[in-house]
Amino acid sequence: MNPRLNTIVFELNHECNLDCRYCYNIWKIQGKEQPIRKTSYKQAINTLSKFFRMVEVGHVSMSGGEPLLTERFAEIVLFTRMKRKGVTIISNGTAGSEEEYKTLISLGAKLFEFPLHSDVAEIHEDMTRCKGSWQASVGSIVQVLALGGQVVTVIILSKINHERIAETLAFHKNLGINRVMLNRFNIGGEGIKESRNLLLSKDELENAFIRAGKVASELGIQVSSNVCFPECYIDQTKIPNIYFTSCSNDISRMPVTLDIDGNVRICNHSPVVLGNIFKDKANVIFNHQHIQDWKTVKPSFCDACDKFDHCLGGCRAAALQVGNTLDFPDPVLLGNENR
Amino acid sequence: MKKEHLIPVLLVGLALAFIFVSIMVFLSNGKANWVKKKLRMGGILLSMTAILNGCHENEPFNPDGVTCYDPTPPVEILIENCENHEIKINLDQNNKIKGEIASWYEISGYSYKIFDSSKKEIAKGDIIPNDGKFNEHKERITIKLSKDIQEGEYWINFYPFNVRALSNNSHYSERFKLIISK
Repeated sequence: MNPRLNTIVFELNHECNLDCRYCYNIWKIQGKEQPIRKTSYKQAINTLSKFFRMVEVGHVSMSGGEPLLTERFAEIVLFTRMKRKGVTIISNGTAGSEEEYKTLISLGAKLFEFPLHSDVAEIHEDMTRCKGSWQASVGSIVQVLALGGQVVTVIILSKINHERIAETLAFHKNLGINRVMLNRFNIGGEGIKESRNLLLSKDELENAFIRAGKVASELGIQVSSNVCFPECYIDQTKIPNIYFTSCSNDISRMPVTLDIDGNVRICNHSPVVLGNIFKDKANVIFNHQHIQDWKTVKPSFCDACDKFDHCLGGCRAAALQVGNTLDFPDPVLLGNENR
Repeated sequence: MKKEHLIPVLLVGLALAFIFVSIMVFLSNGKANWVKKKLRMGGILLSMTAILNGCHENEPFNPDGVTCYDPTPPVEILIENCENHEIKINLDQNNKIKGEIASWYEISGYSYKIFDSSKKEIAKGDIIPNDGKFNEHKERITIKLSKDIQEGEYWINFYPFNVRALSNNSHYSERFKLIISK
C-alpha cells in the first residue's frame, strides 16, 4: 500500500526575483550554494506523476524559489488538480499578473500565501531587498481577493519590522485579510548570514507576539504562528489570541518536500535528503534512518523537559541548517540559558 | 433529456474536447493559444466534476501538528436548514437561527448583523454559545430574532469579534441570505 501524506511542498524551481534576507531555502546555505537553473514544465510533470504513483497525496503547496516563474506554471496546477489534489500557491507576490491569478483560481487553486512584512514599503523592502516588491505584494493581495481567491498573508517577524507589528496587522485587515501567518524568523539559508540583522531577542519576540495577539483580537484577524517554537523559549500562555503550531514527528503529518529533481526531504527547511523518487523506492525513502532519528533522538538540552514530546525542541531542521545534528535543539535556544 | 443526465453528457463532450486541445498543445510545443484553451476547458471540467461529486475541498490542516506553511483554516459557520447560503425563517413558527461555529483558533467572541437591501441595519448582537463560553473547537449557537422583523429578504453577516468592535468597515467572515416570512 502506498504511503499517505496529507500535504506536500513541491519546490518547482530555485529561481526567485527577490533577494530576501530571511530566505531559508537550503540552496542558499553559505558554502553549499547550488547553481540557479531553469526548470521545465516537462520535468515538473514527470516528477509529480512519478510521486503521485508512489505516494497518496492530498494536497500540494506549490513553492520554490518563486513558483510563478516556472515555465507553464498554470498547466502544472491544472495537472495537479486533475489528479484530484488541492493546491496552495506559496508566492512572493511579485511575479503573477491578474490574468494569471484569474486562471489559477478558475483551476481551483484557491489559497494564495503572499508576504507583506510591514505597512511601510521601505521596511518590507529592507527585508526583501527588492524595490517595488511591497507595492507588487499589495497589488497581488488585492487582485486575488477581488477575484474571489483566498489569501493568507505572511509576516516574518524580525528586527527590521517587529516594532510596527500592530500597524502592520491593521494594514492587512484594511486590505481585506482575515488570516495571517505571523512567523518568527527561522534561521536557515540566506538567513544564516543575516541572522544578526534579523534575529529578535527573546523579550522582543515575546513582546511582538503579545502586541500582535492584542491587535488580532481587536481586529478579528486569525493569526497563527506557524514556525514551531521551543515551548520553553516564550510563554505561549501569555498570548491567548495567537494559535501556536508545533511540528510533528509522524512523517505523514510533516510537510514532506519534493524538489523538481525528485529529491525528498522531511520539510522545506530541512537540508537532509531522504532519497530520490527516480532512484529509491517509497519504502526506502519513508523508512529512512533520519525519520527514525527524528522520533528517537532527544537533544540533551531537552533532557529534563516534559514538554519535549509535543515541542520536539523547536525547529530542529534549523539546527541541521546551521550544521548541528538532531542532538541539538532549535538554534534560538543556544544563546539563551533562561529556560 | 432529463436534467440529471445533462451534466455527465456535457462532461464527456468536454473531456473529448480537452483531450483534443491537450494534443494540440503538445504538437504545437505549448503555443499560447492552445494552452489558453486547455486551461479554460480544464477549469470548466474541474468545476463540473466538483458539482457532480458534491465535493467540498478542505485546506490541509492537522491540529496535532501542523507545518510552517499551512495556515489555520477559516472559521466555519454551519447553519441548520440552510441551503445555498439561504436561511429561511417563518417567524410565526420559529424565531431562532441554530447552528455551529467551528474554529481551530481561540476566539474571544462572535457577533452578527442583519441588514436589508438598502444596507439599513435591522439587528445586531453578540453570539453566545449555547454552553455560555467559546472554549471548544465546535460550539453550538442560537440567534434569537425579534418577531418584529418584517417579511422580506435580508442579509446576515457574521464577524469573528464582539459587537462592540463592529464598525461600518468591519469585514465579515461569513454572509448568508436571510428570508423572513410569517
